[in-house]
Amino acid sequence: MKFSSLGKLLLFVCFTAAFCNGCWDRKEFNQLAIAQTIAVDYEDGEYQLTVQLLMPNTAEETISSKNIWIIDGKGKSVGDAMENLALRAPRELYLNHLDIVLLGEGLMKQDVGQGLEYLMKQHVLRRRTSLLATEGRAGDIVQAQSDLAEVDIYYLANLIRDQRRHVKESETIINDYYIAMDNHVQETLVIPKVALAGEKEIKMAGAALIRDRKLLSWVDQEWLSTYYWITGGKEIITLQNVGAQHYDITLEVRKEKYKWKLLSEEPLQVEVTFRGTLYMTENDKSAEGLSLDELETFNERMKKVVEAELTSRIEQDIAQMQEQGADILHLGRWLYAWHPDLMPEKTWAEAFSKIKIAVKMETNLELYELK
Amino acid sequence: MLPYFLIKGNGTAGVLALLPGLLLGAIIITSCAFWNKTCEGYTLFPALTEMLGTFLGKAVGFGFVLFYASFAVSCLYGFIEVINGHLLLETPRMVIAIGIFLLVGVLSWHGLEDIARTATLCASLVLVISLLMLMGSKGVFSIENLLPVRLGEPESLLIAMRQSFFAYGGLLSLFMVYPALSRNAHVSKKLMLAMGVSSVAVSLWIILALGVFGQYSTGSMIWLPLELARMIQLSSFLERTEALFAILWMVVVVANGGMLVWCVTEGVHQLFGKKKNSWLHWGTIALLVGMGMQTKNVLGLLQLQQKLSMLSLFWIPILLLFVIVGSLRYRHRQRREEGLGL
Repeated sequence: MKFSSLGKLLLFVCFTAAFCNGCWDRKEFNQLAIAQTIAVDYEDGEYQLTVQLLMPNTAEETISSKNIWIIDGKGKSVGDAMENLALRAPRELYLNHLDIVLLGEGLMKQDVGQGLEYLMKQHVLRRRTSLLATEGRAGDIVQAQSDLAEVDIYYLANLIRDQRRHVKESETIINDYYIAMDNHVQETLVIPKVALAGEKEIKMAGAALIRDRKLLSWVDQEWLSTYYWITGGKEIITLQNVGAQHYDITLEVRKEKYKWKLLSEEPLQVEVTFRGTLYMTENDKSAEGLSLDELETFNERMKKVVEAELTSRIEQDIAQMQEQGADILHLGRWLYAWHPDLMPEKTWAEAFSKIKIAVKMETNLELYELK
Repeated sequence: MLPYFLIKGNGTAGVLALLPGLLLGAIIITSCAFWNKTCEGYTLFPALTEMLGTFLGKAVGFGFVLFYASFAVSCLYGFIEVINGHLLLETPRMVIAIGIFLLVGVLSWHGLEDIARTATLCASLVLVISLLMLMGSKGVFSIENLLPVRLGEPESLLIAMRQSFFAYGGLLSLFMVYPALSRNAHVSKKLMLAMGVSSVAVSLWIILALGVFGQYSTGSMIWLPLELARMIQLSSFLERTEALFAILWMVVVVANGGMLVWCVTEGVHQLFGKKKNSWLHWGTIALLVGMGMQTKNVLGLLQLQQKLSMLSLFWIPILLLFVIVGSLRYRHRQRREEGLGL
């Protein structure tokens, strides 16, 4: 029997269509345990992985808390722990949708890189995956999520997204970790911290500072708030008892990222400039009843007061960073990129604490209602 | 795999290693244009036997076929490794290889026009991929990750230059394709322009990857485009964006692979003096599959690439020399015959 070209084509299409559902690598949706969050802990020489699994059922239209399982696995290495986890999972573990990695305190004191290496090499994690830190065991946070799942199974992911909406670039992803740890400069990375608040609540509560792949220190939410302001993420800042007249001022900020400038090579001196426009949203009604000329004078006066206050706060924070040897503003990265010959021979953390850093503000201040 | 070899040990300065390859590409295009003008109307193998004699012509022709075969295998098996290592982990490598080679085999069987038309369509897909990469890198790209620009160890730079040389050596396929091009006087200029544009595009890709991942991390990534694809976030519902990227990449690979495989099969046909013999065609394809299966994994493929790049330092210039010298002798002979009124 002779086939026409069209006949051959149709036969070919039917043949290939039969294999479109996949064969060896087919994934049946209702046979997968999809991991959304993974917690990595290190205790008593063993790694522990805790995962929150979503196990969809094709008969149901939505995923609810009854589709969630929390399981953990232990081992001498992360690979062993993963094996242990896989043996205990009720379905085939599917890790390619991991959103968040929670790092426990034990792991951060040991070596963060060891916790991530196996998962990265298995292509389970992508460099866009978010990192969160926890004091104590990260597995406890994942366990707590099962209660919160009654409200929203994506509670933790939504917490990160909400923070990102309010504070730009507040997330730390795995790519940030590898860039900070792998370059020649001993940078310090800020990883936001989550903590349990009561029995059924999780909140963002400060951050962990990581240097040389290990935990340097914990910082509180107030410190983090100022840090986000410095890096340009935060958009609202409230200053209390500012200036001789003790104003309480709330400012909405439209700011560019800070910029470094080399002032002198010997001794090494740099200047960090913060540029932006500040909109006064609350000011104890001090601007009420003023004429336009008076407003201009008022704005100038307020601008000097605000700049002085902000400069003082930033200088304090930078002094604290230098004391800890925590280069979280990536001065080392900037210096190595643009002036590699000026990089000190001693370790960067040590050198960073001795560099003279001047702060400069270049802002415009306006009343919000006149924006 | 070219970006991996360029960046490893060299960082941003590795982009400079494209220059030797660019120079080689220019020489190949010029030689090809000169050869085609001298031997107008001839395809490569009959021209080689005419210029160099039957034995030497066929030997040089065989050299060309071997080069096309090794190039096709390293390109296509590179893609097969990406698919097998990152997307279809359970599927046997042989099955993927047979699938890909079947596709390129069918495409190359139908000839150059189908391949050219597919490649034309692919151009817009490549643009889509590039735009997606740019979007995915938004917010994580930093120029400071690219600096300082410092040359690494001499050995790393040498490896990068050799790989660049080998990569641009793929332009030798022009010797098979050129006779099929229209007698447009500006073809070589367009080819030079195309080579320049693609070199700029490759450089931009590499710079993008370096700016996103930093010089140290990038040096340990074999599949840079895949890693860049993983950075793309298309809302929360589509997380395996590298799968989307791989599908688009496959279309490009099939078009390119189709042309390379066509060069091999057409070369074999011309060597045996046959026209469109299905046994020769599919037998050659099976040989290519078998050749590639000798590399067991990515490491084997990397080692193969290293060896081929070493060989190409001699292989490509020797082939070009034979073609140029042969063309000069042929032109001289033609002029002499014209002068004698023969």
